[in-house]
This record gives sequence, C-alpha cells and structure tokens, in this order.
Amino acid sequence: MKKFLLYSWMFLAIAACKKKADEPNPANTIIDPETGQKIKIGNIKLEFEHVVGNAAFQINTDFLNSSGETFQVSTLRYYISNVKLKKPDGSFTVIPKTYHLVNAVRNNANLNASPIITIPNVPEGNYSGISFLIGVDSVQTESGAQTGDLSPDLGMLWVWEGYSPLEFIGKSAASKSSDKSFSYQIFGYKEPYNASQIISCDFGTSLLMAKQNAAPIVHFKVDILEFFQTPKTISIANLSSTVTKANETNKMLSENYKDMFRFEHIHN
Amino acid sequence: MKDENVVLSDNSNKNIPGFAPPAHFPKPVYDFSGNTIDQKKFRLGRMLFYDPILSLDSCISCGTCHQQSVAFTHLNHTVSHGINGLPGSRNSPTLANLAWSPQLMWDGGIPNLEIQPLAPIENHVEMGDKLPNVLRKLNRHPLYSTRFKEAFQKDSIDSQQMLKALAQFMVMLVSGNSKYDHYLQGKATLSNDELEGLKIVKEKCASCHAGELFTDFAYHNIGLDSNILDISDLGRETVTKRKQDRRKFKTPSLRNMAVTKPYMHDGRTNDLKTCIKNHGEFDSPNLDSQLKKYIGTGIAISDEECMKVNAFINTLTDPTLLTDTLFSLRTTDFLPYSTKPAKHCDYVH
Repeated sequence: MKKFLLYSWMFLAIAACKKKADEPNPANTIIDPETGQKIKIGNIKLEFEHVVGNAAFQINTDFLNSSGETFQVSTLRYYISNVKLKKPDGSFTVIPKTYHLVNAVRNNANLNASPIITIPNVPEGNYSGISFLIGVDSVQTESGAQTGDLSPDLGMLWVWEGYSPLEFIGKSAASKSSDKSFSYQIFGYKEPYNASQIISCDFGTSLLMAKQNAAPIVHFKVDILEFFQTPKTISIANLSSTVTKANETNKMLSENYKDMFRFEHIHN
Repeated sequence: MKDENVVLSDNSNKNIPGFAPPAHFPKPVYDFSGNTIDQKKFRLGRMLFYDPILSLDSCISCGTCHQQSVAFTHLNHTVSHGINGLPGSRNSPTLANLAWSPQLMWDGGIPNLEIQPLAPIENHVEMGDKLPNVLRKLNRHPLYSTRFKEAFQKDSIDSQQMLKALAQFMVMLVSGNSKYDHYLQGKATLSNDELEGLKIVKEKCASCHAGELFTDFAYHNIGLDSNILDISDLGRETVTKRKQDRRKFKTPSLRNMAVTKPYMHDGRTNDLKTCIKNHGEFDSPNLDSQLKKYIGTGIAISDEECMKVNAFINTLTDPTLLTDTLFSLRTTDFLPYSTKPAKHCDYVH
C-alpha cells in the first residue's frame, strides 16, 4: 500500500511537470522559430506625441498649414502594425503581428495626452532601429471578420477597399465644402495604389533595451503639418476630401503622411 | 431533417449535419478553422439571414434578394431593389457553394466571405444601414442578446460574432445533390439528350465554366461592352484598377441555372440560347481570347443543341438546396417574436 501511494505520488509529480513543459507560451518566453530555443521576451511601448510644427497638438484649435490655411482637427486615427526591430548588426527581428488603431483624439478626460501602444513578444536584446507599417497588410485584411482594433465597427474598414491606413478630419475656412470640413480617409491596401506606408527610423546613438518585466518606450513625434507638405503641398482649398476608393490621390496623400512620423528618443 | 423542431430546436442535442460536400468537389477555400460549424452559431446565422433587422427600415433581409426556391437569387429580377425600392446595379448572384469562392461579388471586390455581408448592409440601395446601428439593434433585441451569449459566450454582440454566424449559414449552402451529381456517383443515369448536352458544355464552355463547380472563379470579358446596360460598371477594373480588367466579370456557375433566370451580371436575358450566343458575339478591347473566334456570331448553337444543353442544365438543379428546411426561414427560430413584415414594407416583393 505504501509503495502504491509512493508510485501515485510520483505519477502525479511527473504529470505536473509534463503539464508545465507542454505549455506553449509561459508568460514571458517564446520559442525562436529558427533555432527552436526558448527566448525571453518583454514588451516595448510606442508613444506618439502629436504636434503641429513646433506647437503641441490640440483638438479643435486653429493651426496654420504651409498653404497659409487655418485648420482645426477633430479626428486623426491611423493603424500601426508589422513592427520590426533592427539589431546593431543591421538585421531585423520581426515581432509577432499586432494591430493598433492609434487615436490622436482620445475620448477621455485628457483629450490631448499622447497615445501609447504596447507591443508584446519582443525578444530580449538591444535594438538600434525600428520599422512599422502605417496601415493593415493585405493578408490580415483578407483573413475574415476581425475584432479589437480591427473591428469593422470602428469605421476604418470599407469592405471593398480594406482598412483605411489613416483618417484625418477637421474644419477649415479654406474648404470648398458647404460645411467647411475637410475629410481625408485614405484607402488602398494593395498595388497599384497601396497607401500603407512603411516607416523606418534609426535610433542614432541610443539603443532600445528590451527585457522581461520592463517596457521601454520609443517616443515619436507625429507632425500633422507634414500631412500638408512634402513631397507634395496639399491645399485644403484644392483638395477638401478623398473618395473611399484606392486611387492616385489617396496614394499621393500617403506619400505625404509618411514623413509625419519622426523618432525622438527612448526611455529605457 | 424535415422536422424543424428536431433539427435545431433549443432543447435538441442533435447536431446539424456538418459541412459535407460530395467527394467529387474540390477542397473549399473557406477557412473553417476560425469558424467551426456549430449548431447555435449556424442557427443564429439563419436567423440573421432572414431577419430584416439588418436593414435601416426593417424591410429588407438577405433573404429578400437571395431566395431559397431560386437557389438564393432574386426571382424574376434583372437587378434587385433595396430599401425604399431603390434599384441596385447588378443581378443578385446565387449563394450556392460560397465555400469555394475565393472572392465575392461579380467583380470579386470582396476578399473574404466573412466580411461580405457588410457590403449589402451598408449599401444605400440595399439595406442602407450602418454597422454600429445594426449592432445596437441586435444588442437591444432580447432574443439575439440571449442567443449570441449562448453561442459565443461574450457579454455583448460585436460585428465579428454577427459575421461569423452569417458565414456559418452561408458556407453550409452547398449545392451538390443534383441529378448530375448522382450520375457522377453512379446513382443515376443521364438520358441521351442530357449526355449530349454535357458533351457540348464540356467542349464549348468548360474552359471557364470549369470543373464540377462549373466555374473557374476567374474574371472574363465576354463582349457585352457594346450593348452594356450600365456604362458606369467597369467590372473587375473597379477592383484591380487595371484597364485590361475592364468589364470582366466572374464566371457564374452553371449549377441551378434552370432556376436562376435572368442571366448575366446585369440580368439582361431570360433566354438560354441568347445567353450562350452573347458570348463573343461583339468584340471588345478585353474580349477573352478564347471567344475571339466567335466575333460576329457569338457561340451559335442550333435549336437542337440548345435543347440538349438545356436538358443537361436541368440535371444541375439541386432540389436539396432549393427545399431543405435547414436553409429556410423558420418562424420557430424567432419565437416568441414575430417575423411578419411591417406594413410600410409593402414595396418589398
């Protein structure tokens, strides 16, 4: 009987161990697909500080664009996805895909606070640069009914044209529309008018140090003025709105918003 | 299967038959791994399909323009009309065998079946509503809020649940139980006329109306440009933005063709012979290369050949798809609520 109890106890102990080993993703490690080795992972955060030239961004406040037009912003939303981190040796680590809809104008008490998104599953290590996609890639777009930040309820999916990479809406006296609004909801997720844009930045002399139980922040400035300038100068009077269809105009605007994103610094 | 209370009633533990196409069908393209067929979800999909709650004025359901008795097309309608009787621009396509369709719509503009219903729900000449409003209505509805909770174990209904449920109903609309299928399975014989019709179809049509689904799911210009009914409809070009795709439309399956008049993307003809003749009759910059030899005549077949093709096409009609109550509107799904349309919906037919 005693022996039986001992065996039972051993069996339970083995079963318990086995369960632990089988767990696919214990809290903060992942299996490296190339080496099969277990690697430690942590989170990083991306902070998007919205500015208008040298001024801090504020909702429904007058700003001046490069065409000398006064404008106010009511909505600015964009997708961040497909994050890759650059290692000091120049190679890139592809982070498991996440999709974040960044909303410059948030519905809480602190309307103008910078949105911060969390990117999980980042292998521990030092990184010297980052790249990400403004928009949602075609594989994800075509993969069926989505939820979370990709939920069609959020008004960023037009079923014929995929997800809008970026939506920018406001008012301007220069607008030709009767309600003096401007509305740029950009569409196009595949060629020939792919309006998703890859943003790549080097951290210069800084390094991003990703580790377990830490969440270093990569701080970006997003300059709204850049929507209206370089490579093309966009005047609200000449272009007050876009159509919900991938086309040359949407593509051209996407070239413009590409340089809205500027790396500032890292908080490790 | 004919007793509706047995198949899917609340207290029944009997499962709906799973997705079980005939062996001679190819592998479906729909990814079932993210949406395993489930009794409760399927039934929710069926309820949503037949419920005008998805439209702005509560008059139009999916089933209004996709009627089971005519293989989920719109009986006697060149184009359908949505809320307030507003006309659409293309002929309502069949929903049979959607699990095999890599893209949806006549121009393939929608890349995944699950998001397809968003198009008619938000089109102002179809159901004319907005997704957030539809979700508000569903969440307010005691029947849906209870049933969705049972099926998806979530506190409230979101669009993903709604779309997955609708997709369950749609992928189950398999049409593979026709006399022709029985013939392939060795369970039926075809008459001489039917066999000769099959031979003509294989010879003259099967490069596009290909395989056992009788479509290559590709896009072709068959030369309808010169007498196009809606000049603004650029077909596949709308999706690819390429001029060489102008007025290409998806090859429709020949299955259930006997009950899905009128034909073509714009519903231009009721007549099989005209429909066949229209292929290549008129030149177009994008005319399919295989049809060039027919310019001036179209695919001209004799009355006798047409009779035989017609006889064969009749063997592609699938009575299971057209009559199985598994796919029908069931008032019992909605009890204790009524599915009777409101009086202001008189314009719907």
